[in-house]
Amino acid sequence: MNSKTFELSRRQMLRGAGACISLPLLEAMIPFQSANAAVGAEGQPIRFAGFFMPNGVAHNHWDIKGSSLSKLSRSLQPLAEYRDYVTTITGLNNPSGAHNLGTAALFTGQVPKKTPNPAQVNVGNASFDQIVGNAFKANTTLPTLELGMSSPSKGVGMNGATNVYRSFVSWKNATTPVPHELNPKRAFDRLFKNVSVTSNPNAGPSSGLKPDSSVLDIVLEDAKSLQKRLGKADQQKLDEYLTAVREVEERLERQASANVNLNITPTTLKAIRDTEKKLNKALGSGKKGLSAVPQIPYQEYGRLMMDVMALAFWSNSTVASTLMFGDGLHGRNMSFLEGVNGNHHSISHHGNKPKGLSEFGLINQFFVSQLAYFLGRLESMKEGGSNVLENSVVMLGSNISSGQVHNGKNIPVIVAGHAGGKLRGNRNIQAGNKPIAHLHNSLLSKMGIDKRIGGSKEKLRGV
Amino acid sequence: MLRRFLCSLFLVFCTVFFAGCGEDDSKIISNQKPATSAAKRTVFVSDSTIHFFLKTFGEDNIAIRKAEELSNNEAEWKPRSGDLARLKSAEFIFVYSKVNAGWLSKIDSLKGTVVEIAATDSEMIPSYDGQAVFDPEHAAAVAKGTREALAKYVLTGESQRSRLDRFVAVVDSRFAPLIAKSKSLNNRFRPILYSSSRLSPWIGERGVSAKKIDLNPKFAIAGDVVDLTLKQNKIGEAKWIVWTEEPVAELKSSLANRGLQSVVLNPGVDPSGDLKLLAVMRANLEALAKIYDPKAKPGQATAAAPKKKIGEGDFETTILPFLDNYCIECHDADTGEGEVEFDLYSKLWQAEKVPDLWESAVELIEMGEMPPRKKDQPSVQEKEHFIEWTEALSQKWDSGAMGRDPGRITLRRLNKNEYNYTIRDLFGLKLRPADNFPEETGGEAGFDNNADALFLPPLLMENYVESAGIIVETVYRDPQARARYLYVKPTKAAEAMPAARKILRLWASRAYRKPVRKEELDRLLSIYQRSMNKEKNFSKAMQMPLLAILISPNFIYRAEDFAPKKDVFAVSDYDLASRLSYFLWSSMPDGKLFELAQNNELHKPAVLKAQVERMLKDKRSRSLSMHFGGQWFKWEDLRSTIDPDTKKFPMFTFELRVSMYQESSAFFDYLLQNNRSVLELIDSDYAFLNDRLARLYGIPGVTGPQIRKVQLTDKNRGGVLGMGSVLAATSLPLRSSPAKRGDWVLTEILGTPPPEPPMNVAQLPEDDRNLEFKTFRETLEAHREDPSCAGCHAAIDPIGFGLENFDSIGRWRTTQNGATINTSGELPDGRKFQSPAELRAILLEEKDLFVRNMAEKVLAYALGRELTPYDRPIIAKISKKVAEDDYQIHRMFLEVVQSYPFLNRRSDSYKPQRITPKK
Repeated sequence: MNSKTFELSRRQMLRGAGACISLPLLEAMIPFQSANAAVGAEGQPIRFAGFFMPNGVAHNHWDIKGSSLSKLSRSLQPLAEYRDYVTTITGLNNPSGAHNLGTAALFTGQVPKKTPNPAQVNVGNASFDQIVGNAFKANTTLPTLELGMSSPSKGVGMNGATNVYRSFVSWKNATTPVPHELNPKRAFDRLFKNVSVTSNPNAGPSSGLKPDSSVLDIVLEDAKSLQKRLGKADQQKLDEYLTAVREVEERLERQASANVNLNITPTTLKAIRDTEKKLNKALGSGKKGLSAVPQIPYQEYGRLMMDVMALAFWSNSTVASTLMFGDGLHGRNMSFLEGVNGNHHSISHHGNKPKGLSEFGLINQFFVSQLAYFLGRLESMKEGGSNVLENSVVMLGSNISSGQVHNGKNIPVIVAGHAGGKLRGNRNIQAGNKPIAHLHNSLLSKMGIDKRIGGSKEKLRGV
Repeated sequence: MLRRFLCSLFLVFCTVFFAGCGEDDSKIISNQKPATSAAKRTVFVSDSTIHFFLKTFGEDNIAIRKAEELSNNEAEWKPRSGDLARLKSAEFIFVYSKVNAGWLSKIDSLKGTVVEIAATDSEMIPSYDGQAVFDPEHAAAVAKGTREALAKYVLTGESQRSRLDRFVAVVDSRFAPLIAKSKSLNNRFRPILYSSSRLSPWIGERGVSAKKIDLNPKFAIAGDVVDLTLKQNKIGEAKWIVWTEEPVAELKSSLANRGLQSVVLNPGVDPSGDLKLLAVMRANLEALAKIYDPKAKPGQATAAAPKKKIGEGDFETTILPFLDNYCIECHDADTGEGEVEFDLYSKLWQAEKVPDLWESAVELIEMGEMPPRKKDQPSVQEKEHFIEWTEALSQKWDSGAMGRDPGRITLRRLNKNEYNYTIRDLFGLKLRPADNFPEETGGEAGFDNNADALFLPPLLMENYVESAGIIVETVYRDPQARARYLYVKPTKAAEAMPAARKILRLWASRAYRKPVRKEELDRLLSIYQRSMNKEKNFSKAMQMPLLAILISPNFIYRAEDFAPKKDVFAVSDYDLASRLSYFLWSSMPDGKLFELAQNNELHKPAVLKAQVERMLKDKRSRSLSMHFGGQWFKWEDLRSTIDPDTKKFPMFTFELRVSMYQESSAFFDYLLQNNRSVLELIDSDYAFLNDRLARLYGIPGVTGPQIRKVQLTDKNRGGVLGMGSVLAATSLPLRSSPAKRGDWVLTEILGTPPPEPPMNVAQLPEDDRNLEFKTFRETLEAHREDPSCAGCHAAIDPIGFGLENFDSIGRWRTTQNGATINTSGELPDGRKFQSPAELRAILLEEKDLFVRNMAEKVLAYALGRELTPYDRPIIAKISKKVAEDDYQIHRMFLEVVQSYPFLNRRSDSYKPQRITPKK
């Protein structure tokens, strides 16, 4: 990168920062604008939330008949209240239905390269959320927010595919997975640590000394001169560093940019403070030191994560976010649910026995109820004359169809939100054996993003 | 890999296969030594019943009509037009009774042969409405009838083909659930076997119908039967036929003419063992049907020519045709099943580069897993040639004849742990900034220091930047740390720049772990200067350059000196110091290592040896106990996935979790501090406990929360297999899992992981309360009858049974739901044990496997990369040296440090040269 370019943009940045700090930001005072972005009725951004529900579903408790949601299946009952926002889709295929590859394929739409070697991972293209984040990044401080509830796995899984695939649904590009935050408090801090209505509204590195303008230039120069002394493969490895530093720099710029329209008002700020209290209560007394995953009851844990996601959307800090309820071979003990005794993965191997199917159906229902919680949060967040759910695209999907049969045929898919009026709810669409990428392409198009995913331009009819 | 441990696995299969046949019978089989090829060619042919015949076909090979189409009254049955067409095109039509034969005979232009089978299954199963009873006598009668029918079919030469998949069955409604899963079969199979069987519900009740019973060659004889099946004229290669009943004379003599001897076993009909019988008979039946080949000439193969040993050079004459005939159809560039593309290897020089590929192919072939049983099968001799060739190649690699290659280590980013410890040692501060970083993934060997898995996504960069800021502020707030950093104090303006230069030279060199380069230092000074111009304060102006040091790629990555012009070169002493310190301490080198590097002393063998010993005894080597040991043996999973149900195990508190972690890492620490034998990992007469753990384990006399060494009197508890951490890591939330534990021992202790389970495995109970039987072992054993599981689980489960005295959080128990737990078991090679202690003693006999596995783990961890075939002679040498030095753990680490790949680096383009062995 040309350091002169940086100089220039940094000056712009400082100008922008001044403007930003001096103006009180009122709700919808500045319409959200982007060259190609779809916007809500009153100019709000359209956000994307992607949920990964591992291990498939018990189809006998999940599938719906008919073209509307008037009769919800057992597992989908929790969506009753949000019916008008929800579309269920059957007959969509994950291109690679397996614990590992299917996880990476859900939002990337292609069959990942099967390899045991993390250096060779390839998912074909960036994931849906990253494409959305990238398209709208100029308007936010933290374009994408990746959250997860299982530690990444090491080693190699089924069929000799590295467990890197099972660990991440978000991919920066074909070869770089994006790690997720496991701790909702840390995610919160990243977004809101220093936020207030009157002073600097920027999110950003929360404390400590920040690098001044020269520092990032210098380390980039270090990297470039180091690169010259490396072998070819290592030069490529160091590209990750160069890209990452530039992204951090861009983010610092955006935080101070006049284009960023954070929605920090007394109303949203109160919600932010309330969430902070909730997080402190849940995590404050938490045991530290040993656990990578916070020791919070699973349901509450997920809801805290979704609280942070919802706030990130409402405050316009983020346009795209993913949450992995677990990794692609999720084996968490689900016995906290009434009527369930065992761990998620084992129960997903229900042997098609009624009891196993019933237990698995209850687990699926639990995840749907978590999704419903998120929909409720978004719906309660008013913006202009509507709410955030109106202006969002929410999607839930899985790596495999059913736990018993590991393939990607007919994976469970739920789409919710109205995409600023571009999506209708209360529908059950029969896709008829189409790849998930067709849905991605339809949704990208609804969001006004001129990108396609999964190596195909085709869209799903009727979305 | 598994081959090493399961070289005699075949024998196990025999044993499992005849598990229903009683003790005496299995001995007959066991007497056939597996070492000879004769035993490997045993053919299992035995009596059968139509149920099993149906079962065989029904699961996989039957196109089924809809249930409603057939009347329950066979006499009224009329084929519908669709059936009629199929019947007419069928080659064989099996019928149960004369009734059916009767109406069949009225159909014109039946091309196929009608085979009548005497089966009276309705008598055999008096009731199937929930209370099925298995009647041995009827079963025997049915078996006899079926056998005779089949024998007739086989021996009269009516068959033009021996492929089972040419048969199709018409079955009645009650078979619908049984075969419902076989949709894909419609495409493949034509005729239909007509049956009025009522067997289906009976099977269904036993949990069989919903599952696919694979004719998985892993199970028992199938692999060998298959040899005899799909290639013509192979029957003569078999030496033995094992019967569960006296075969009909005709058949017996016919087979005897082919040079086959018969052994008769008891069929083991037993009311409670009916499922075993089912499996036995099913496989037998298939064997019988398959071996028949009307064109075979009796005795043909008994006079086989003496064998020529296949060597590595026989690739194009022996292996290529094998690949072309049996593998390439699926494993080519177009199809690429399992990411295996055999068309990449058409020349020896291509093929010999990938010994692991051939070894895993051999493993699958030996297990009967490949080629898939529906495909053409290689002959016994072809298989043997394939195996011999692979073994010759492996031997060549192990000997080092393929040349030396230090391997390529990707530019390594500091992982979370390394970052934390480096900051600790760099500034002497108790800071763990990386705890907030995203969790690391890991490579194939399971370690989070694999350079290829250490990505640097923007989120992490953000963390580095933020953490650098926090570190600088902390250094500045701490008077001592600040004084250490600003160790030169300029007293006047002119001294400021030289002071800054001195300070930054020292700190950048320490942080970069090698002398800072001039241009790097100049850049840091430019930051200082800019900051100084603004701040007008020396101390303040020195903040930004320190921040830059901590964000620089020279700190975040361990970039080693590179000599692109040289093929292989010794790593520099500074790089060696870092290799050592990050291997043994997960941190930066200390002053002593820097000093030796500066003086160019470190690489000298005696110096290196002394340093390794010093470093292992340093308390910083605890990182090995926590992260190397913890990721190898999985006690690091206490941080994440270990998840016992806290309602069932309320004592599994966070404190207990921590205690278990401490127990395990303290144990490993003790080995390092005292240079103990690595074999103590398998068995020790001591453990590291506190009051909480001692209470859990039922060991008296331990008070207080501190972890200390406790002498054990109970031989069942020592080593890693007696640790709560390991026992919990290999359990499910609500019960222990013998399969997980067996797999763990095979994989992590012996380095011989079993093949992957099939995807559609059935669920076993998640909780050990309310089991089918009282103990989980019995429940599991009942389920193991599924032949697609039984083969591998015969090798896996017994080991787990030997640990069933430990519940899922490591408590000792002798009963489960009131029934006594049976912890006896038998390994594939026949070694038996009665208790965890005896199992340990057997594992201790596998010293070679264990040490080799440990050497692989340590080397992969030390190098931060996956191992390659060029590492094989290295592993062999390390293992040998460790064994010669009484298995001392220091020897293991020392040998790894002194190994060729640890001390050397290579260019990207380096090609290893073969070494011609000296005569």
